[in-house]
Amino acid sequence: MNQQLKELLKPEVLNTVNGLELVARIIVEGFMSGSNKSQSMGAGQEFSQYRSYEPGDDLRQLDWKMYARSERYFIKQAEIETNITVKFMLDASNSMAYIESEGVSKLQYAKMLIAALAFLARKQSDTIGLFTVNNNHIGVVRPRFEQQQFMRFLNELVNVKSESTWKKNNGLEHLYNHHSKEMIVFITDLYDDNNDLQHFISRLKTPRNEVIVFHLMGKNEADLTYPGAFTFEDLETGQRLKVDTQIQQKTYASHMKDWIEVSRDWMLEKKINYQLVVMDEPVENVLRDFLKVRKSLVR
Amino acid sequence: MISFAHPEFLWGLTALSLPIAIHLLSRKEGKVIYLGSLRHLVESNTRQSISIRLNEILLLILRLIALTLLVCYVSGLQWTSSSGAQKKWLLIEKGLERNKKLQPVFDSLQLTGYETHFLSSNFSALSDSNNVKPIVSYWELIELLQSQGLTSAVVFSYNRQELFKGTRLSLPSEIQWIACDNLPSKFPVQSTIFKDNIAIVRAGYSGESGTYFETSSVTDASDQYFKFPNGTDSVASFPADTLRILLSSRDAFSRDVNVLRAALASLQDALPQWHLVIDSKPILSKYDWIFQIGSDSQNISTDNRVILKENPSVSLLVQSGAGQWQLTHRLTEGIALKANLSLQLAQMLFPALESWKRAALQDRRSMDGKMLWSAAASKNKGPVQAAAFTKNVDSLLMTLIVFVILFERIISHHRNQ
Repeated sequence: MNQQLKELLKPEVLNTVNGLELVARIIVEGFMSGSNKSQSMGAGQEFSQYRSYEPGDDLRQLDWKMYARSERYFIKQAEIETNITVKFMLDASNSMAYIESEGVSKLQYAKMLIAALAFLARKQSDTIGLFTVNNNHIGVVRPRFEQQQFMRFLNELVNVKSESTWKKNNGLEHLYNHHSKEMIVFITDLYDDNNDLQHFISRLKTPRNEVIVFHLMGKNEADLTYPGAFTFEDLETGQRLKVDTQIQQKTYASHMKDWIEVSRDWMLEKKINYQLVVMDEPVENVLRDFLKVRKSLVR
Repeated sequence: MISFAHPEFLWGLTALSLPIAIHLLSRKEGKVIYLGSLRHLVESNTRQSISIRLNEILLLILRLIALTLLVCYVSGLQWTSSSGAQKKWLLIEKGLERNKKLQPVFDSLQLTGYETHFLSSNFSALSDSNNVKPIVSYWELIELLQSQGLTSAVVFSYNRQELFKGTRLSLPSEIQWIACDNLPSKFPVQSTIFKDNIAIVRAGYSGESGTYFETSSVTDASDQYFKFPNGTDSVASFPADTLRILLSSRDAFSRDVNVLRAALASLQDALPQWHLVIDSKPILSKYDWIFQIGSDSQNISTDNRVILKENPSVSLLVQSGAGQWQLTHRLTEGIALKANLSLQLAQMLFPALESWKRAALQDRRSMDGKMLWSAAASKNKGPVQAAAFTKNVDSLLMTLIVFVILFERIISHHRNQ
């Protein structure tokens, strides 16, 4: 992680619109060249190549100047610029307030991730929208392509508080959209009751859209590497447990691993992109790895 | 025995309520870690929580101990007896141990655990009465007593005046000094036997306030020794001793000689045990004393010689060598009275004798209570002495405190993990 960014990763920076934007910019600038241009060819602004005319092709795409030079019919092809809608969804339940060893909380980490991705998306003229969900409040910034959208987006993002639990008893219907082509980035810690989140994520996926789930996980949280005996308190329910970590570490770690495996499996089944993010990894690395994988996955 | 130099600091023990209050008020469950979800954890029961509770109690106890030790340290804990038993002495000056009046006091003190010793420089036990060293100075004895490390000492003493020698000390708080009146005694000092069993006896009377002497004649005395009818002390009787004196002078000095003769006559009256033979012309071949008043009689042998040699600036009789004396003034009645001629003559003629030592032995004068102890020094001496006693305990306490606090820190560190 570069030093400049490291200094900015403080709550007081991340909790301001400008600070978050700055952080996002710094994160993204490292790999601006890696954009998600469509590789399908067709009509567009950017010239790509010529191909021979075949019967049935649209005559409008015929390059007449080329015909004048060579007396052959060529179809002028350009890269198709796809403008997709990117919807960011953030689990704003209180479990996201988990902080690992005086670093940033999961929520702040998620904010950084979203801000960086949104910054990227804006650069590519994609439409961005934000949905933050907890049981008390559902924050919505509808996807629009406007000059102000990014600021509005960041403002909403900055003001998200982690509280309560994931939204219970449905009430999330308006988040589902089965019509348009879109990309949904959902950031969560996957802690829920009664598989609420699993249901939600399952319903997000349609044949037309792409769903990416970032699963945030602390390093100590994954391995239970707190030395000694502690009282653990559940951030959402307030329940307390006295736990000797040394005794439970192995079973806990294997439980955790199983859980992650299970989560990955059911998401894969539904063709949902599952990304496990361990929070000791810098945001830009996560982003870089993610984009690399995505690029290679694209048709 | 445990005692405190500054008991007022013991109020610091109320601070013990602090850790107890903290312990009771804080239901500490160790460090709390907030976790997103406890779904993968199970309660680790009993062993750990019991150990945490034990740890808490151990910590509490350690803190209480540390506080107590600290308070003890501040309030100057004194461990005044090394063996744990109290060391209490009853000290009796030799002679008082058979005092009937004091016997009940001695008995009751012995019952409460006092060991009885003689008040002497070796503090010999009461049974060991033959081995009692004489007292040199009471004040020296007190210093010796202090070095014994006693919890308390009760001293019965005659307060004999002549034994208060050296630097006046203050009486340490652990020593109780009880003065007992010495019964006045009447004792014969010298007995001179004359014909027909008539004896001239010089007797001394010594009591609390002073000693004085008296001369009396006793008619039917034994010729061997003299003893008062109800007294225990006896003195050997000797016939009168003769002192031969030659007063050699010229006519011009007859007045001086007369004064001298009168003084000698008064001495003869006062000291019947001496027989003074006074010649003005050399008759005998040898004299004990020759007074040469303006004459020359060098050829007559003598032990002591007094020569008139005027020198108004010095006192009347001056010794100029072995057996050589000078009379520095012409003698008149006025000068004789003024210079106390007869007393000076007596001092010169009769040196200290056995009888004087007898008188000194029987000295029963006692020191006035106000004069016994130095009051000014007691303020300084007391705490210094106390510090010397508690020194070991202090360092021990300090070590303990450090050790306990270290232990507490280690345990508390373990707990927090």
